[in-house]
Amino acid sequence: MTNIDQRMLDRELKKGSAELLILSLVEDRPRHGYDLKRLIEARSGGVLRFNVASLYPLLYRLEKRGWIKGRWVEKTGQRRRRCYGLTPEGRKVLASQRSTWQAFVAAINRITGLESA
Amino acid sequence: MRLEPAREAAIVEELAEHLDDCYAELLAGGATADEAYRAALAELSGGEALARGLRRVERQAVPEPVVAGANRRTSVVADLWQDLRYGARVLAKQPGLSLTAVLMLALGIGATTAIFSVVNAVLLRPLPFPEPENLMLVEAKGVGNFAAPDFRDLAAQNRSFARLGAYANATFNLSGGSEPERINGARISASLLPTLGVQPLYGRNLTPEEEPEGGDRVVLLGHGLWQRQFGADAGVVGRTVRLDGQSFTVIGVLPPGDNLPADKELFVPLTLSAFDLNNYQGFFLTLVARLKSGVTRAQANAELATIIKPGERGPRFGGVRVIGLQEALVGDVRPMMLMLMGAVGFVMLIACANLANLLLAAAARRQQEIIVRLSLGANRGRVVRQFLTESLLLASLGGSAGLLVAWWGMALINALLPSAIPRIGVVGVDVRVLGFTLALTVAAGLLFGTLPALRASQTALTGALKEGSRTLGGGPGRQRMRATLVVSQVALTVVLLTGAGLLIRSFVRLQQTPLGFRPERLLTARITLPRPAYATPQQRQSFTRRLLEEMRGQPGMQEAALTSSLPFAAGNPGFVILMNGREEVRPGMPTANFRSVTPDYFRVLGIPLRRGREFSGADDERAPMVAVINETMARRYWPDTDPIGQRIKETSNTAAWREIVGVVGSVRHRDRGEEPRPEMFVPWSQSPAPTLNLAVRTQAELAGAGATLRRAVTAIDANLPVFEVSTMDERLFESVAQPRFRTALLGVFAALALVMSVVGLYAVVAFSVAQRTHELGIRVALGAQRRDVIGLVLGQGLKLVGIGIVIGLGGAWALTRVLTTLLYEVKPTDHLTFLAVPVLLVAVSILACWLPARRAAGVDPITALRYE
Repeated sequence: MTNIDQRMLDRELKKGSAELLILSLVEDRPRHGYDLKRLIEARSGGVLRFNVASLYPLLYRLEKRGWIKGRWVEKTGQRRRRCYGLTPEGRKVLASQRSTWQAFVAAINRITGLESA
Repeated sequence: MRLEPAREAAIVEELAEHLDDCYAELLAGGATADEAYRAALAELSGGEALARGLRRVERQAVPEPVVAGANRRTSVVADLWQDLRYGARVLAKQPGLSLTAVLMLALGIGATTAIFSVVNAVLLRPLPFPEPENLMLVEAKGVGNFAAPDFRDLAAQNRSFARLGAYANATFNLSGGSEPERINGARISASLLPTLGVQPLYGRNLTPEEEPEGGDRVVLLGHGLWQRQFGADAGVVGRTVRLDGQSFTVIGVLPPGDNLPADKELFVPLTLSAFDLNNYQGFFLTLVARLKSGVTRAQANAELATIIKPGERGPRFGGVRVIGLQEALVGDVRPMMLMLMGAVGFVMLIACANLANLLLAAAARRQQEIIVRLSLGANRGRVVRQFLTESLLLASLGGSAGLLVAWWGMALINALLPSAIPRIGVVGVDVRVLGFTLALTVAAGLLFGTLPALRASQTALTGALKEGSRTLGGGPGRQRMRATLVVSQVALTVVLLTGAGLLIRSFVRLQQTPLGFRPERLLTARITLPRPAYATPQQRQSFTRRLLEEMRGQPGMQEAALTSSLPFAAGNPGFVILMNGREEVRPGMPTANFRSVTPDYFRVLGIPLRRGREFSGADDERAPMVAVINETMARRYWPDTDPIGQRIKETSNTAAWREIVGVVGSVRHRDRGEEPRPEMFVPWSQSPAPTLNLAVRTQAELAGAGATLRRAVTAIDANLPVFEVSTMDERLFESVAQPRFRTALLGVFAALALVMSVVGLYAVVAFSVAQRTHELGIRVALGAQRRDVIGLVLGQGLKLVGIGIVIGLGGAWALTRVLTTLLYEVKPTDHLTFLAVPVLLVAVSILACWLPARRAAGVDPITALRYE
């Protein structure tokens, strides 16, 4: 993590990719907010962290757009949780954002010399 | 955040779950509770940013427009409306809790309202007369009533009364209505109705000219009688009716409702004869006065003492005083009413303690929600207000259901009420009762809601709570509070159970008290022989001889006898008794109750003869005058000598010196709880009374015996109504109506309190077990047996019960003294009751704790250790 500029990460890079992160994590199966937070942290090796103030407004925004749908799920002996799953509209948006992101990353890599020779 | 309540609740719940998951994960990762707590709270450190972010995304509820000059009340109303909607949603999400709470409140509020409605009808409702606070009963200490000369002297000489009226009880045979009927009435002075401030509905009041002997025979009809016998005919004024065979003109009809004298339906002038006006020993008048404005009771009493001095009106007369009329009417039942009100108040407190416990547990589960709200910008006051709104919402639901319970309760009370309770009428809901219910509902809501609300608002953000539980809710502080509430409930229940136990023991003792006669299969009735047809002793004798022959001839009726005064029936005249030929009457002389009886009386009633002989057919009007006395009189006035052969004389109009020829067993005459009084009996033939009480022992439980009796009387004289026909068992049942009523009610309250306390105990122990699942799992993993775990849980529950019992017994020791006047042959500190109540409570508590204990013993250590 030593070479990462945290401010740049939080203010500029995370903003652009946050929606893509959420949509891709709920592609396989519905997940609740805390689950999403843990997964992001775990799979990014701790580079990316979302707190409550950034995660939930994002979830609600995506829900309002109709890209994900929240549902209360209650398991026996547990309190109910709100789990978010991808909608058909959301799948299209995910596919589009993925290809956009891939193209963008490839372009940046070419310019900055990060692409493998 | 000013969002729609449903949306706001959903967001808060979701964020609360997030916090809980974070906390649990940190604990599982090895953090201490404190560390995990702080770290979880840190998730919300961007509270302002979160609120901003949410506001940008969510659609906000439109706030009330702020108009210049409008006060802040409008936004408070909007907030309150928001709180109500949110509260309704919260309650709907916990249907089990809400339903239990509403049910408990309904029972508590309903029972309290039902009892209050009785207290309202009897004690609080003002008398229906103008300025009732100035109406007084003039009381003659020692004798109760006044003689006619007293009335005359008081009326002439007093300066304290604006008006003074008098009345005497009387019964009449009425004919000239739809059918002949025996009517309870009164002879009243012309001044009585103006004293009370009562105007006839139709016609006019009596006039002073109608009072003296020889004045016009006029009558005022009571409203009920007018409807029943005269078809509510407004033209009844001027009609003639026959009372005891004599013609009376109807001059008016009284208005409906509470009247005085109570239960009287017919009123004639109080005609005082020359004999009456000189007879200082005939105490038969009740006096009612209206104080002049500005005159106090003390001033009136001081003046009365100068008009009639104690001791100057005969040996029993102890002086004169005024007491408030309402107080005089209901004073006897005030202790019972207040006791019932206190008891039902305890039930209400127990219900509130139960609810506080339930809400504390519920608030514990909402801890995360509270943290989220506080970090999103809500202040502590808002949180308290939200919780109080929910409590008040619960309370109003419970109060509404409580009114339904009260309505049923009142129907039950109306069915059980002894008619002997004065002013009772029909118990129902009026404005005062509704107001009381509303005040009680609000008070209950605040009482059980404040503690959980304050506790909830003290949460969390300060981090001052050293919680030791696996979730953010629950912990030693809250456990202590819940335990305190359970202990209080148990203590209150002990007091109620002890009171009920004492009353039950007292009632049983009362029922077992020997009466002195045999009441089974004894049919009784009353006949009054009116004057013109039965004016002479010979006429009455002839009637009674024929009546007894008729009765003895009826199949299934073994034996019949007559008396002037039956046990447990109205009428119990008493006189001063002169002895040994001395005629002067001095204060403190012996007194005795007086009865004239036919020869078979003692045998028919099963009263044993102790010495000498009973009356026989030879003891008639030509034979020497004789008397029989009871054991109580013999022991009291001839403790060392044989009373047989002694001569006595009662101070009645027709007294004669009599020789005592026998002593019979003593009988409880008026009240099972009262010691028998001295009684003297004279032969019927030597003193035939105008009022006959018939006693007939039947061979078996005869249905229709009453009808047979009526037919036998009608066969002799078709114009004579027979009234108060009942069996002696029915009279005895009625005589203990008041003790039965209060014992039954207190028993019901005690049972209710017991059920509520047991439910409360179960809830606390069950919650504690759920909280301690992890700890119990560890114990089992370390080798604890099933019985050890059960013992642990039972021990926890019984410890609370034990503390509650000790406090409760202390309270009972102090409080049951108020029951002293209501207990019969049972001390308020009766050892058996004080022993039985704790035993009962412990037994029931073991049952309550058993289920959670068994559940605890069944905890799987692996599941428990993986819990959360």
